[in-house]
Amino acid sequence: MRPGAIAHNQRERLLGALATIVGERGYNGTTIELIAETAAVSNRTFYENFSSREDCFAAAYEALDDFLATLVEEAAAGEEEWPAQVAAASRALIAFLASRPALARLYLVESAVVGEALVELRQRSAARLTALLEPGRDDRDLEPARAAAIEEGLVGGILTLLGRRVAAGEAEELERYAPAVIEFALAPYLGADEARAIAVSPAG
Amino acid sequence: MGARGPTERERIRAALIDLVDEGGYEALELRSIAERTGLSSSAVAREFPNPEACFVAIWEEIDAELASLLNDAYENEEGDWPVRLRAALDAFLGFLDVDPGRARLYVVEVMLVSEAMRARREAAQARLAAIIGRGRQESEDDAPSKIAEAVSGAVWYRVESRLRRGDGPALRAELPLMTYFAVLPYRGTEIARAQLARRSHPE
Repeated sequence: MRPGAIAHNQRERLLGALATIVGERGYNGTTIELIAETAAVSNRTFYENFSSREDCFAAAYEALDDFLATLVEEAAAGEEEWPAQVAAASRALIAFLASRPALARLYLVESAVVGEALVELRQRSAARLTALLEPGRDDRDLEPARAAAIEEGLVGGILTLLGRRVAAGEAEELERYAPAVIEFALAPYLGADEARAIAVSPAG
Repeated sequence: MGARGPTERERIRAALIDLVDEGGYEALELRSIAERTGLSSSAVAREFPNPEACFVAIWEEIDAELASLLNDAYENEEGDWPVRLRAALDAFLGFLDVDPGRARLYVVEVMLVSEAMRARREAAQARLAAIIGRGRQESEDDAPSKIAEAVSGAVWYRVESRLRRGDGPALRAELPLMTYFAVLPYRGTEIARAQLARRSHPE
């Protein structure tokens, strides 16, 4: 292997190790020694890749967030109507998080504990999700500031709802919450009844 | 009862709120609390063994105040559920508006303290969710309680985001929107929209 490939590989291993440890012990129980040990590299190699535990967490979060953004965009692109797009994107996001509890914990729960380094990244992540809701503004007489506040509230409510379940160790059961999430997201636009009908209709 | 100055405890509380507001929880030290209050380090240490204990004690005081305020606002308001819920939300936002530093300590900085304190914050969110969930008239499944959790989450998230940005008008200006969110799942679009049209400050 070329040296560049090894370095890349080490960085990936460190990110994977961080995700594993955070999933097991939370951010506060994660140490650089543990990350390095799990990735089978030296502490020195850790510091060649990241300046701190926080820096490593931020890199892992950013990579995960990029992945999730693609995941939800692709899920949405498979549907024609906007409400169905929101439903598909929600189901895809929830299904992924349910299948990867450690990543769900990193993304939804532990990212709130890290502090300043994550504030902007979390905002960016939320903004990507609110963008999915923006087409809902069409044909509704919502002033932009109010529409933005509704979108932020919806995304915040959903992330909080899912985060609480993950924090309670119930990540695997997240898919039970997909109908509530979809209903909650669509109700301000379609009304509660129509939103519920879409939420409980079979996927795909 | 004659005039009396603030007690040691009250001085420590005020200093803690200021210090956390200025430097965040992570920079908090007992020494700086002593300096800020003019008390000796040993006097502060008699009350609290470490900064975390101090933060936790003050957070619990704030939480207890807010809990009873929320409950009183809901119970004392006369009328249908949306009206009483609105009163409770108004009390919640109004309490946070009184002192933005205290609000940031209570909503934002608490996340950095410990696992146990995150659970305490969740319990506070669940308290609001319980009031929102009373809007449920009849239940077919347990979806409405999930919705109540999401609505409470939305309110807290929006408050947190506003407090982090530290700009804009008072949180109470959000009252119509938040009431709308809470009423919508239980009373439908028309009744919820009526909340959006109402002003934040009826007085």
